[in-house]
Formats: sequence, structure tokens, C-alpha cells
Amino acid sequence: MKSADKPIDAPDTSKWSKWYWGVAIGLVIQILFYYALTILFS
Amino acid sequence: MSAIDWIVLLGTLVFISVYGIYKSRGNKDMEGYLLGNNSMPWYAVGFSIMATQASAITFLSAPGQAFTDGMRFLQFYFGLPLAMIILCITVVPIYHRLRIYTAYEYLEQRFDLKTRSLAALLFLIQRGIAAGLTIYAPAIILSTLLGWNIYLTNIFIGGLVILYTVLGGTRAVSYTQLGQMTVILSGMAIAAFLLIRLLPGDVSLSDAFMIAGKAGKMNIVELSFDPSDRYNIWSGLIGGMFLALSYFGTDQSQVARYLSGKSVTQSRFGLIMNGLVKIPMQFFILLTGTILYVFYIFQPQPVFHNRVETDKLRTGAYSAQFLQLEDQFNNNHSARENYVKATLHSGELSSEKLRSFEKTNAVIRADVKSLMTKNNSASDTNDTNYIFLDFVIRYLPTGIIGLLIAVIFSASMSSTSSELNALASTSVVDIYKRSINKKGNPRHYLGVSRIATIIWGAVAILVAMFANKLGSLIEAVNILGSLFYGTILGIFLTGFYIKNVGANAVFAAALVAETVVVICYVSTTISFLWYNVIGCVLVALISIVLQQFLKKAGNGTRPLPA
Repeated sequence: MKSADKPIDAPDTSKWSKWYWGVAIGLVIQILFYYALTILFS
Repeated sequence: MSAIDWIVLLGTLVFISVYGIYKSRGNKDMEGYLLGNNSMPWYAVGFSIMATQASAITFLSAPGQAFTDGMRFLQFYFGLPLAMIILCITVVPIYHRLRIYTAYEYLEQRFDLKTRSLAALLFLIQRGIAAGLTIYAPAIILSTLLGWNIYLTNIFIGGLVILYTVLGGTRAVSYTQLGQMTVILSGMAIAAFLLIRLLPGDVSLSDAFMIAGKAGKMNIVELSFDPSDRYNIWSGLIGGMFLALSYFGTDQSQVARYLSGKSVTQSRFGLIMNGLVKIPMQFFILLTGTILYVFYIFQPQPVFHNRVETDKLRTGAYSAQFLQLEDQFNNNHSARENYVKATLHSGELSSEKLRSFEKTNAVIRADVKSLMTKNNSASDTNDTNYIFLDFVIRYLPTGIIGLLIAVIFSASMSSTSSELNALASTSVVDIYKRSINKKGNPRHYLGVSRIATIIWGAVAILVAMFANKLGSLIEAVNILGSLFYGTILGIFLTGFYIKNVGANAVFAAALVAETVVVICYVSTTISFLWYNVIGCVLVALISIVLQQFLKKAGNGTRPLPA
């Protein structure tokens, strides 16, 4: 049996939440950066 | 190409083939051949995921896309990081816990055999066609470079990929992708660096961005909502997320990559790496295309970037008309160059004026394409995929040309072999072994897996024969995927989250949803990214409604597998 920490239908967000937030915040920052480039060079 | 370029190119092809054969040692059964040993670390999983997605199509077509349409294509990837988060939370632990070979096995455990077979069949259709496009991408290089017949080139490249994949198996695919992705990124960085150096001395990178912006090429983020507009932030975030969810969550060519991870943790980190790196990588590839647009303002630009086609026109019955159009294009090009030079540093560079030059160029190019069709109705009138390649051949130094073409071949062979491997897995595991012959021995299934790889390779070559009619390859691949992905994703998400829906309801809902998506494609102007949302939502909603009419106990409903 491979490692899996929780029942499959329970969202596993405990120790991973910081990574998920990191990806989400990274996306927001990128979109803002690209939007700034769009405005700056339009 | 010089002898050095050929040595670099052929050396890489031979190395990949030999390496694949070397890594195929010890494949004594289907499990080893199709699945490897499930021992990859997170960074190998991440690179493998990226290498599978970023084929030669990415390398060739994306810069051309930015050159012609600006950078707004980047928004297509905005939903991808969100999809990675959802997959990490939901799909990865389920697949690992169930110890499945293919994603579609889950559907039989959750629903029934016919639902599994339907999803597998939809995957085989769309991925079989997409594999053809992956073969076609490097084939256009040889046809341009050597003037070879494109059809014979497809057979040559496809044959090489089939040989490598049949002998290599999935282990060779995964190991080579790690190195190939490094080579791809290095190659793109070298090309971008050399391109910037080739800009005129008084044109800085900031000037280049300003010129591109005035010409409408820096249209990275568009906030307006228009369902018929292919790329805006909403279609990217919502439609792109659904497409990425389906591609990474249900497409076997990707599922196999993260199933090869040592554990849930390693698979998750591989997907998170993809979520963090993918958009910046595409940004730089598209930016290269935008800088290339600026480069051609100051350098002679061909009226059409596929020189094979213009040579046919130049020597054909419409030669005089073509030369006249070429003169008009060159005059407009010179006027644009003089205008930009005169106004760049005075702050008077006008967006309207620059775009008027672009409009004139577009009219002339349309006339040239019309002549091409008159001259030969089988002409390829879309040169988007040739723009970057044409630059590489004309302007990059000896050795670098061979390196970049070797990179394209490496990337394409890697992606194609991954696709053929997934097609063989699904054909053998979900169809042959499940429904046709359950009692074969391991060597029998290994042989069948190799035969399946050869057959799918042949199908891909046939598709590649017609790929030149599909316009921009990167768009063609994504449109094709969007026709099927929404429905497949809907089946999976219904399985994951809507526990009281049974097999019969979801199966009927999937058929209806797929029909609606095809109708949308044929008879509406709705942008293709929205097909993913429409297909997925329809499967979920219709299956819920249908289930209300099928309330008999045990009517296709099974408990969630644990």
C-alpha cells in the first residue's frame, strides 16, 4: 500500500496548505505583474 | 545547415535512441514496460510532467503565436496552478491508494465497465490525433530545411519515434525527459539571448517592449469578458483551469507521469513544481516571439515565413503578381522601419500609425496567401509555425542551429513517446486485458503492449499527414483536447464528489454532454476553452437529474472505493 495520509474523500490540507497558498499567491502576483506590463507598454 | 549542425543533430538523435534501448533492458512484463518501477523523485516527476506537455509544438508554435497575435495566449495557462492545487488535494491520494495502472481503472471501481471504456475510448481518440500533431511539428523542420516532401518526412520522424518508444518503454521515457527538459530550457535561453543581441545597438530591451506594446503585442492580460474571444483572463482562469484539471487529472499521458512518483508526497511536489514554473516558462517563450517581432522591424522580413511555399510561388504561374506583392510588402516594411527609427526616442511613436502598417502588411499577406491557393490548392497558407524556425536558420550561428533543432527533435520525441506509451497502456489495460483477453501471461501482454505502441504510432503518422491544414499547431492541439476533456473531467469529478450518482446516469450524461460540446464547436462562436466548462458542468448536472429518475436501489451506484 502506498503512502496516503488520510481517507481519500477527506481533503488533505493540513501540512500542505502552505504549499497550496504559496501556489495561489504566486499566481495572483504573476497576474498583477503581467497586467502591469500590459498597462505599462500599451 | 553545416556539417557541424548535422553532427550535433544526428549525434543527439542517435544518443536518444541508444539511451532508450539501453534503458529498456529488463522489461520482461507489461508492468515494467508500461509503468516502470514507481520510484521517481519529485523533481523527476515535475520535469517529466513539463516535458510531456512542452513538446516541439511549444517551442515552434508559441513564439509564432506571440509574433502574430501578441502575448495574450499566456492567459491560457492562468488556470493551471489552480488545477494543480485541486489535483494535489483530490486526485493524487486516490490514484495512489487504489494502486491503478491507468486513470480509467478508477471509473470501473466507482461506476462500471462501460463508463471506464467510454472514458478510455474518448482519450484514445483525442490523444491518438494529438500524437500525430506532435510528430508533425518536427517534420515541418526537415521539409523546410531540406525541401523534403512533408509526407515522407512524417513517416521518417514517426518511424524513428516508434522504434525508440517500442524498445524504450516508460522507464526510458521518464529518465530521458529529465535531461531533455534541461536541454529545452537551455536552448530557449540561448536563442532569446542571441535574439536580444541581434537588436540594433540603439534599441534597448525596454525600447523593444515599448515598440511591441504600441503594435499591440504586449496584450498579456485582457480583462474584458467575451465568450467568443479565445484568450482573456476569464477564459484562462476558468476554462484553462478545467482544461488543466482534465489534462493533468484524467489524461493517461500525464497521470502516468505522476503515478511514477515514489509516494503521494513526491507526486504532489512534482505537480506543485509544474504549477509554479509553467507560466513563467511560457511567458519567456512568448516574450521571445514578441522580441522577434521587434527584431524584424529592423531586419528584412519575408512576406511569408515558409520559404518552401514562397519558392513555389516565385517559380509558378503567378510569379509576376507575387513579386509585385513582395515589393509592396518591402516598401511598407521600409516605411515602418523608418517611422520607428524616427520616432522611437522622441516619444512620438504612435500606436495607431504602427498598427496601420500592420494592417497594410496583413492585407498584402492575405493577397499572397490567396495567390498560393490559386497556384496550388494544397498549399499550406499558415506560416505561424515557421516564424521562429525561419529566424533560427537565417540568423543563428553554426552549431547553435544544430543544437536548437536537436532540442526540438528531443522534445518532440520525448512527448510523442510518452503519448504512445499512454495510448498503449490504455489500449492494453483498459480494453484488451479487461474485455478481450484476461488470461494471457506476462510475456504475452508485453508483446501486445509493443504491438499497440506500433499501431498507435502508425495512426499518429497518418494524422500527421493532414496536420498542415489545422493552422497554429499549439491551438489545434488545445482545441482538439477541449472537445473531449470537459466530458471526461465531468465523469471523474462526478465520481469524486457526487456520491449518490450511479453508472447509468453518468454514462448517459456523458453522451449528452459530448454531443452538446460537438454542436457548440460546429455551430457556435463560443471559444474552445469554454468547451471544457460546458462539458464538465453538463455531465455533473445531467447525471444528478437523471439519477433522480433512477432511484432504484443499486442501479449502477457503487460505494466510493477505499
